[in-house]
Amino acid sequence: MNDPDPVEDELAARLRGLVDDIAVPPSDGRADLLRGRRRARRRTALIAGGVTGACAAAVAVGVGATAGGGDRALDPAVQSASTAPSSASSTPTPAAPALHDPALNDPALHDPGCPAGQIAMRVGMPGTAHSALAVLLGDYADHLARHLDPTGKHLQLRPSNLQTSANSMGPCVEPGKVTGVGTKLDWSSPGDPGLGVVQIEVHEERPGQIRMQMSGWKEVAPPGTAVRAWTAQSGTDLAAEVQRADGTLVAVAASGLFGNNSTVALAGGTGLTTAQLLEAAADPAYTLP
Amino acid sequence: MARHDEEFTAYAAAARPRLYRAAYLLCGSHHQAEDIVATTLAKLYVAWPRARRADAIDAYARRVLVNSHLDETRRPWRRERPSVPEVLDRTVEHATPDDELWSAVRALPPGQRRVVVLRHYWGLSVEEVAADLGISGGTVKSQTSAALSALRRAIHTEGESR
Repeated sequence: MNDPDPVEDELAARLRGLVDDIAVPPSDGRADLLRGRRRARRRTALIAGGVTGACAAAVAVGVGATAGGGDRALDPAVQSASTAPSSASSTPTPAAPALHDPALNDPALHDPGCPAGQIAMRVGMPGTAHSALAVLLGDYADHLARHLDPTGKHLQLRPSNLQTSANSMGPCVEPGKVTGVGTKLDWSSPGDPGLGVVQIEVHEERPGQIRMQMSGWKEVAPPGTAVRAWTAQSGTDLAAEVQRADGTLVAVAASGLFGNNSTVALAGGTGLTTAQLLEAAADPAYTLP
Repeated sequence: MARHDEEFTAYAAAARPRLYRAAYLLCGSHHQAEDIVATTLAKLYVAWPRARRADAIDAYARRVLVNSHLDETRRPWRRERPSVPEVLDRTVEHATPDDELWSAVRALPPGQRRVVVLRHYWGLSVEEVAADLGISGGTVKSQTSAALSALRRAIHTEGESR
């Protein structure tokens, strides 16, 4: 039953009056479309990853059954079922991604304040909320969270700042001329008043901030598709950097104190390890516009 | 642009103001409302063919909006670092009855606020709200009743001021 009630009618009218005159931030519909496409791509990749993982698990079970199954392994049908996928179980090495993401060249992501064909090198200013770099930083945060904070308890997905470099001067540059992008993200722990930080930098061949702000770098075995890798540690400050085959460098650092935004360090540090940072840095998904 | 994309873009442009205002009522923050709407539309894009086939695009958008708000409230930095409640975004020199209603709405527990937004801002029936939130009709009624009790003073203040 939904009998009309004067109090409810009054409430409905008042609520509409309350918000119907607030200003809705302008948004280019194309930005919604691009975010949707990116989400669809990520979802497809996750599903594909899940299927690959499930296949690998199935193969592992099959191999286990073969090893311990005695007579079953001699059954040609079972044998073929358990050995046939083994060739498919070798996970194909993912192709090295293009450093510059063509999707970020979409005009819908351009800062209205920039000439056609150029992107804004700053975010957070009017008109740049959905700029190419804002989308990119959101992606970086998503990738980092997937590796470092899968439960979503620590990492703030809203980037706190933007560091860029480019082969061009000025507030707007052409996509492809951006040579480096980085940001810092809050890292907190429930019940701890301190504030830590996770920093990421993606840049073409040259030392970045993270490389320079840490000392004692040691070369380690490169994970995934990386060709070289290094880690550094000083107290609760950790960092890892990988180099891809095309020379691109991806560095991730973590510290128990986010000096830009807090004077209180996390009591137990971030709890992250250099191995985790290395894995996060080796994700081939980071791109530049 | 594919037909799918054209339809989605047109829908997003038309629905954004309503989604944004509902999100703002739910969370009381312009920044969060923007995030919630962006997430809602991105999820809607992924589900567009399914939602369109079911002729349930609005219902799907509402559900995603409410769930996205729920996700936002579960994020630890939202939970542990509540920001200062934003003042209703319009220029007023003195407190008005609407300010009182706004404060009362903001003070509602999240579950009651969701029911109020869907029932009274969006104009849905008890059954539709129950379906959107995945709760029983009885729960919708009890949440509505509790919310109305909490909001009654603010509503009556308006009535008396007229």
